[in-house]
Amino acid sequence: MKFSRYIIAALVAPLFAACSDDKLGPTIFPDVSDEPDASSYTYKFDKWVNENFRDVYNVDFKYLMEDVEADMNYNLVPATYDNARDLALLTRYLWFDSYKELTGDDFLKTYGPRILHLVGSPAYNPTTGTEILGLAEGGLKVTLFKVNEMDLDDINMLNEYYFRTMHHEFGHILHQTKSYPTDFNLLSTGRYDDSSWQSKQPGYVASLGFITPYASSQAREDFAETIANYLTRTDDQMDLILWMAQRGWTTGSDKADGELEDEDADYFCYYYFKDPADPNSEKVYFLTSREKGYGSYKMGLIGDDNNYYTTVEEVEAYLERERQKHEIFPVEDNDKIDGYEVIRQKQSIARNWFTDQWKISFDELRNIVQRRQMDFDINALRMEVDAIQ
Amino acid sequence: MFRMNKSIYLAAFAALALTACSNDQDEIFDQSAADRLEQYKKDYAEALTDEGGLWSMEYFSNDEEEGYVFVMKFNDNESVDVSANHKWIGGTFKQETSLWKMIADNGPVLSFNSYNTLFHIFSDPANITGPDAPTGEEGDIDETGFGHEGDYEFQVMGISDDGKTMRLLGKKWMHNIYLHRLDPSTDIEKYLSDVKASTDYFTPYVDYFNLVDANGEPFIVTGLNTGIVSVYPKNGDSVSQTRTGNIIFTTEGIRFMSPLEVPRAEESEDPLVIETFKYQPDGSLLSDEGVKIVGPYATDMFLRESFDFTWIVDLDKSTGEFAQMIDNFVAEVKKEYPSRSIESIYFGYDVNDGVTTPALNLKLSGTRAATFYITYTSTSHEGVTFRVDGMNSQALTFEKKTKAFSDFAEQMSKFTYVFSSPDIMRPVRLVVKDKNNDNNTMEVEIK
Repeated sequence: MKFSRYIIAALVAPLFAACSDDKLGPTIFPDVSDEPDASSYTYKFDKWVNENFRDVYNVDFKYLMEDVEADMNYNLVPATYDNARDLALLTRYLWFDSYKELTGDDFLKTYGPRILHLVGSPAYNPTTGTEILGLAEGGLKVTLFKVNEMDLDDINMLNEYYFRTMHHEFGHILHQTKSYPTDFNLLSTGRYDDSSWQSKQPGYVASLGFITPYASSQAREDFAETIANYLTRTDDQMDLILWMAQRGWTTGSDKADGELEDEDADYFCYYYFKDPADPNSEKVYFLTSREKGYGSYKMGLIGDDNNYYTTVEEVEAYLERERQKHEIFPVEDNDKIDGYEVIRQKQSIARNWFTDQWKISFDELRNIVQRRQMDFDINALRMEVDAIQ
Repeated sequence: MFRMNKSIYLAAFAALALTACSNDQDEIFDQSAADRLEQYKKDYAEALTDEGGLWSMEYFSNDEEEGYVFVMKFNDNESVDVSANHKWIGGTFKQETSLWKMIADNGPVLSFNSYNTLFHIFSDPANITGPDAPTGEEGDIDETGFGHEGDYEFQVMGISDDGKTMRLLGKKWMHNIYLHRLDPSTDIEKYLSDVKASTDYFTPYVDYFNLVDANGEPFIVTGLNTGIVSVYPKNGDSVSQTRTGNIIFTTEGIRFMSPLEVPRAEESEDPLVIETFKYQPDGSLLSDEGVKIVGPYATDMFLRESFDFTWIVDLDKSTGEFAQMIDNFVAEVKKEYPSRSIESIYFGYDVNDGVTTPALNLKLSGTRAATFYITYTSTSHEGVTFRVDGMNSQALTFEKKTKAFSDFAEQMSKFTYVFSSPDIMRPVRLVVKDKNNDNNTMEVEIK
């Protein structure tokens, strides 16, 4: 028996030793340089991208469409070269440089995305009628859509589609790295609506405590929207949202007892008047909360005079003119939610989270972002690329 | 038994031990897969930029609209000058530069990776707008999220031995796309203009064509002017046997996006398969398989019942008795109506007592046409005859003053007419001869 074991051992040993002369050979992959080709049409820009994203932040800025980086279920197109270049410049100036100014290079190098991907078109969802403006995937990649519609002369449009989207998606990356307090989720429990948020008006959701309709879709989007809107919206815009959040709203039609307001209707937020000669006359509601403009990004209120009021000052002046014509009454706030307070609490949680988890002043960051949004000079930024040798 | 099992185990181990170290594996390829892919990328990229880098692209975005021709100049610096004149950019010549790259994906893939408004419009998911936008029962169809659904990345399937043709396959929608090398001195705008002219050649007046296969079986082709072509066997069922496919017009002819199989009148026989046709010197279209497409026959075209057009007699192109007859008619009318002149003589269709009726019309300047209702008594290609059955109120008014109008109509009805067309594909101008006397001719033109 012992003899048999020796025999078997002797036979098995070569099996393990037989391939000992197999050695790792050279890589089977061709040695291709990732440095820009000096003869390339995009040489200067490619070099600028490398110097400003890859070398500093270890970010691969993919401005040329790679459909393997996108969801093939959507029909998408590449960005134009010119728009991609401009958005790359603005991304660095408004996003990366904002954080750099406050925290230095290392913060975004450590926590920033590894890939930025630009797509020319929106990612439409024909079923819901929605379009995706940005995506953040696993803290690794941020995709910005709709680049071909970029209008550098329209700060509201730039804010809605790009700058706010950048901060929104980075907000996701940050909270995917360090969770935000669960208290945040409790502030609007039961009021999120993931299926029909897109049909709701900003004034209505503000009164429920959401900064935008998209924030009312789910808690994590609410958190990202709270961050992005706080950083990018001007004081005037933020004041108007909070003004709306404090007021009652109605769809303007009388309801039978127990009948609920149509949540998807236009919202005649806030005021009505009656025929002074007839105390029993029907209420005439006015002042509608409505997004308006290039792809519905501009927040404001439409008066009976069809003018669009985008600041509290403008709205109050309009109401004063109405008061001169007839007595007006505020709509009773029946939703039993203090939208103003809820939004402020959400901002407070985000502020504390930035301070505690990231050692960043949320308000200081906002000041920097606001300043940069107002003072960027695209021609000066383009010269950075032109100056590349 | 034990001994036997032990022997089997020992033999198995021994076999393994003896084979495990064989390092002499035959390599099928000289290079690694990655190296070969890199080489293909390099080769195809060089092919694109070689010899001036000028190519025409036959492009289909989907199977419900015509194909479009682009001219592309591939530059060494990975820019591409795209030229086009298709209807989605207003039908006029435009050129725009964007970027291209040969990438490694599903094999070597040609990617147009920056947006070009002339080309990527077919991939853009925005709603299709403009006068040519598709419509449905409820008006404009909202294509938001879909657009034309065309590709902008293409697998390179191969290049012909002479390097003149590269076959591509749309990466997402899998349509065959061809690149044909052009001489670098090609006038791009003229080239595209010629393609457009070949599209415009198929006027809406000529809304069907005759197709005859190599064995002489006739088929009817419709929709050539729209780019969406239907074909059915002439002696078969025009409803159940019609097959439809989209085509692209090129300077050389037409090509279906994919081979079209059309059942024959006798369904048990193998179907007719058609794909590519080339223009022939006589204007007809001919496939490599001997299938020929020509326009409607002249007689059929003349007799076609339509309110979309009429046949105007060219008053300056008549000969023999026809010329004499027209001259006499003009002179007679001049006598009775000195301030007026014969404006036109034309054949067409009119409605008489609620019935569509063939008509010969004599139009005097400043008046309604005098219409003579006629009946074709022979509609043979060998000779067409007609008789005059009646006239409209305007003809009756003229009749009270002169018999010149009715006499002319009656004289016209005495001849047997034979029709021919110098343009085999587009019989919109016909030569009309007296069957019994070749010297008697006139010409009629569609209007």
